[in-house]
Amino acid sequence: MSADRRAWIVVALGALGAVALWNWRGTWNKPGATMEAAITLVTSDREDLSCGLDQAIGSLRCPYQTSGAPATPPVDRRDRLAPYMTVSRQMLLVPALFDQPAIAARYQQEPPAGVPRQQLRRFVAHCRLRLIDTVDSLMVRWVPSATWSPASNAWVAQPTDCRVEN
Amino acid sequence: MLGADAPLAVVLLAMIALGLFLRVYHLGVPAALKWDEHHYVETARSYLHHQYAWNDHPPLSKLIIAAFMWALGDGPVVWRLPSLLFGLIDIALVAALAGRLFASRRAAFIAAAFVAADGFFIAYSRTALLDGMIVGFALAAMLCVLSGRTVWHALAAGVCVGCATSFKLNGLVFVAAATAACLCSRSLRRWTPVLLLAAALVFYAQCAVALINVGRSGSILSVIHENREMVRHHLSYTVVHPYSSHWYTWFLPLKPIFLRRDVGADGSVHALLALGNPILWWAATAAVITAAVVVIRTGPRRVWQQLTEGAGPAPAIAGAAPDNQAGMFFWVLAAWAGPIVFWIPSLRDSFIYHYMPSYAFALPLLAGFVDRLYGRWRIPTLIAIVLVAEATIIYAPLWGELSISEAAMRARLFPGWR
Repeated sequence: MSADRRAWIVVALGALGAVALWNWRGTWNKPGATMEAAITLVTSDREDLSCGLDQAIGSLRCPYQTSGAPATPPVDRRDRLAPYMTVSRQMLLVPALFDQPAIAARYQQEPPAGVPRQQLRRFVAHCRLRLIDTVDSLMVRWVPSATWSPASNAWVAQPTDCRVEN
Repeated sequence: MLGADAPLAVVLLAMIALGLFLRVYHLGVPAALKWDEHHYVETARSYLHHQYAWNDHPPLSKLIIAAFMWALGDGPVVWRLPSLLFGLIDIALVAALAGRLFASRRAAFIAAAFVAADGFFIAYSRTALLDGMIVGFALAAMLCVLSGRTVWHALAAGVCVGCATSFKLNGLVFVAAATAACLCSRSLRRWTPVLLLAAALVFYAQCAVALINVGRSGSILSVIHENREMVRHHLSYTVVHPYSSHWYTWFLPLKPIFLRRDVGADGSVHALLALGNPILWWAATAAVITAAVVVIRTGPRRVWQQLTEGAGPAPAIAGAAPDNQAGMFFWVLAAWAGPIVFWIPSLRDSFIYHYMPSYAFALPLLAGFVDRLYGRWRIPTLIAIVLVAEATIIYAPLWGELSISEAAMRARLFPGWR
């Protein structure tokens, strides 16, 4: 085999290796992917947590705009996004999380009505979520009496299955 | 250089293209300041508003960034544009130096590919930091004194070392190296005062401009006072930064610096690691040792003779060693050693980026030796160059701030690098 041909074979093999190495970057969450998340909750979160965002993600929306004004028209409860934090401090915007049977059952065990928030027992919901899109910046509010605060980098995700760890 | 060298040319061009891509890809991301950018961008903003700002380094880099911001606006791409431009110039200058040292266009081409595909240079082309700029002026200065015979070369070298010192005071080592080279060269010796005067004038002028811009006196006394405060600050600096590293660890390296390490909402990591291409990094040290051996074997008498002759004529045979090669190696080795020696007695904590100018002088040596090896053992050397390119592709996500998973990033890092 001529030296020229051997040199070209080296280049071709190098190119093949380059393609494989270029793609060796691991996997991370992408739209359409499913992720597992451990979400930290108290039962009053169902009513307390709220977000402000001007854009809609499909039919999903925050109940407020970033200015703090209510979204118009009002968002259907099943499409209403709310901010939740995972135990690793990642923010997720999830619609109707408390409609998940396990979380709804946990809610029934400890209704928050009339109980100060700090006396409610915190629990963790292990949920499987289908990732829809990311939101770069939004406003969040953790209790209705609090002021809005800016937040960034949140995934909008649809819960598909949850179990509760007490 | 085509024909039989076409496969090599393809690999080198691919390395240069990849290096350029990694330098410009999403240059404006993040829109926030990363690593030490705040030192320089905030000061540049103050200059734009004619407000005094404390400088822990001479003001030239901030004046350059301010000029770009004045012309093009205040935004992340603009802050980093000077670094990008110097990063591109560095590729050309290292190539020119390799071409001069080895009288070989192929060596120059290899050197250009090595710099283009090296993460240290890529990282500093993507951030509004100074070290890539110092490299550019240091290389240009040494090229002037190694190639020059006239007063204009001495003047240009003086301006360049003056600029290098006007970025960071450790640029003084290049004033020393260029002055020594000038003094030794029979044709340049009488122009040494021109070199020193030009360097001093440039240093004074940029300090004075910065002071006058903020409504202060630009007198020599004011400039001296300003610089004395700066030196005092550095001498009294006792903080040991977790990223700092001793000079003798730089050759491995033990502590490359993450200039950025952000985790996105999707769990992907965007990182910028100031780490050289590991193969080039280690091979560059071997090239320095080889060049030192060449100088030693040439003998002090012949080396001194070459030093005094200064820039020699180009060799009659293309690819042959220039007549004064050992002498030129000596000065390149001096320029390589200078930034390291500067930190040996220093009590202030040092960082791996202080090695960057040294590394820039080692790469032309490496490229020249690789060129010679290629002439003798074509296929094995081509394989080695392909491996360098593959190493660049492995680390590309950490040099170009591409999305990567935490696990894939950690798989690329030795334990001490994490």
